[in-house]
Amino acid sequence: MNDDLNTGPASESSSVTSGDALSRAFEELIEGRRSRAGAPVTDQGSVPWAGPCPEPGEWALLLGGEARPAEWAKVDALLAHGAVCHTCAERLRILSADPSPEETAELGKLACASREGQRGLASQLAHTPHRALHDPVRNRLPRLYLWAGAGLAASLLIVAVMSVWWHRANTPERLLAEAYTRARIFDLRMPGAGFAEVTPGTHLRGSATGRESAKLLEARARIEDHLEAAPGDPHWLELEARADVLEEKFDPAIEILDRLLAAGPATPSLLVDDAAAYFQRGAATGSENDRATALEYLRHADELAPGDPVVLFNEAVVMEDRGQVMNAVETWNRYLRFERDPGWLAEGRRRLQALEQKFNQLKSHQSRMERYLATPQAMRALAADPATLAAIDEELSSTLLPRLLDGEKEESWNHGMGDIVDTLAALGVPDVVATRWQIDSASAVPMMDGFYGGLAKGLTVPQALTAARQTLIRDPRYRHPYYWAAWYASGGGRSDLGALFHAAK
Amino acid sequence: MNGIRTSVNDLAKSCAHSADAAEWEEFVCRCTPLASVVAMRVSRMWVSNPSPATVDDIVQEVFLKLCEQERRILRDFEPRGEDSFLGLLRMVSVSVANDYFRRLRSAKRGGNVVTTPLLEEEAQLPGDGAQPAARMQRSVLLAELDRKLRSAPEVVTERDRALFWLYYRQGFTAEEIGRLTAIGLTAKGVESALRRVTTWLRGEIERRKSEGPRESG
Repeated sequence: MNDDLNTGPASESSSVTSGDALSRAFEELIEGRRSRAGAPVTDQGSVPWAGPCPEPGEWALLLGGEARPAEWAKVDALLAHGAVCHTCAERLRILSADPSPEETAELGKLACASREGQRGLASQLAHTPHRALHDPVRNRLPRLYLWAGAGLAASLLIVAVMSVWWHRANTPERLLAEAYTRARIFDLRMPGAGFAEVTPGTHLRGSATGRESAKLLEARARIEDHLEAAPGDPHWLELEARADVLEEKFDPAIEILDRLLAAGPATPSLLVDDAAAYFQRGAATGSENDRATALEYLRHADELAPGDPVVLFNEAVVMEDRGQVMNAVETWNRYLRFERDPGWLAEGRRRLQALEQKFNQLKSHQSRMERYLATPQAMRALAADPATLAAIDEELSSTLLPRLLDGEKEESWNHGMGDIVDTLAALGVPDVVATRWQIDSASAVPMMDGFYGGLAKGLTVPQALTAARQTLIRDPRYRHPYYWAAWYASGGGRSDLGALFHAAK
Repeated sequence: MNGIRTSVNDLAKSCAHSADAAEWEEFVCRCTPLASVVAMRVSRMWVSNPSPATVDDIVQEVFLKLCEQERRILRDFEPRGEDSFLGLLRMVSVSVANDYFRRLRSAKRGGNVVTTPLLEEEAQLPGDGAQPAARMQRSVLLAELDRKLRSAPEVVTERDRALFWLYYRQGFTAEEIGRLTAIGLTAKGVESALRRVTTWLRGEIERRKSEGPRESG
């Protein structure tokens, strides 16, 4: 071993060597190499800076062909060590040197050097397991890799699809829709919800929180999480209001949704949710205003999204509730053109059919009852005819009388109006114009325009009413008897109001 | 085998998939000299006087190693130059021979590596006749030369510096260094590199001399 390349503490002193001494040492080194003719410098000693000597096998890296880039660092380290470590340098020299004549002679005596020995060994080696160049297994490998890759890709695709599906299936919107479908507690539909029969028995009434479905609770939790991060986000606020409606907490829902509508923009979804909240609150409290507001919002939503089945469904239901029978029929028919879900479609058909049936019943009922109840004289005649009265007694007692007695507002047919007309007649009013059922207020405007126009021209009340009916019949919007047949005049029909109108001018 | 002498690289690649005894015989014949000389030299590192049977065993193990795992080494062999398979064979032989003796030592439980006495005799020699003080002075000077070499890595790389000391300190010839195939230099290339380093170093020393001596105090 040597220490003459020591770059440790000793090297500090070397910095003070003179140029001459260094030059002399250098030339001695060069000359010494020549004179030694390959023999190593023999001043041995420890070389602690050289580090531990590599394993004998490691030196083979220097002899195994040109190093790969990954091996360069190791090669440099081995060379650096060999440059300072005589033992390892000698080991390297021994491994790399060509055989000397003595070695050649010695090797010649080995069994493996003999021709027979080599032949025997070659014979054994030739039969060792190996892969033929066109090994079918090897040829199959690319295909196997291909199949494995395809399988892996398919698995990844399935996982991705499942992940997307799971994500979509578990959005709060979906969870709310599922909660609605699981326990549909009102007639109106919720956006995105599947069909379910109404089960009013599961109403929560805003307090039975212990009965909330797991889906609703989960949706609630996630909505709350999002709202914590973004308290003013309209989307999550709308979902919170929707959850409130499902829990029949209508006041907070309306408060949120009204605020969102005021901030704009008014989307069909927002209008549908707000309409549902108003309608359900109206149904719970009996508020006409709430239900009228619901219809107003749904009409607006219908204008924004004319083909939306949810909007049409809800609009028809509310129209039906508001007594707008013909409008409801028309809306149900429109709805049936757009709905694709079989369950909802069947319910729409069922509701339309029931509505038409009810309408027909009302019409026939009205025509049958009209002759008994149309005028005070007819009613007095009915009262004097026990046999007839007995024949319709059940109908009168079950349907008409309670309403007449209570003065309750009729939803589809104003039987109470007969009472009023009768009263007015008794008070001496010569002619009374009234409707037999509640009509759409929009159609009343042209009707009244025509009626008063006729009176102004000097027509009698029945004549003016007939003329106004004709005007309405000519209007395509109000051609249906629902609009014009409801009107009737009661009285002598001899009032001349023309003078009154002219005097007013 | 045809009459044209096939390169050992082609022979190795061919034997990777061949069961032809003649082809294998040629391969064994070409590879045995190198495998046996490496086996013998490594054996001498472990035992002072290895028997011919030991060397024969190692040579046989070398060939069996080449045939392991359906001849994986031969199949994976990628030529890196002319007769580069011999470099690989040398690596395999060194590895197999060392493993052979490690196994033997392990089996003996307590067996130990024989310290290589290669330089003992030289160590006992008076060397180049230098006295301890002179040797120390010489060590300092050589360390200064080494620092010079390290001072300009853009001119003298780590590898150049290693070549310089292998040649001038360890007494390797350019041919011997060229045989270290991992370096990727022929003997001529080694000589060229040495000439470049020597010229540069001499210039540096001359420049220092002209700048004036810096004698120690």
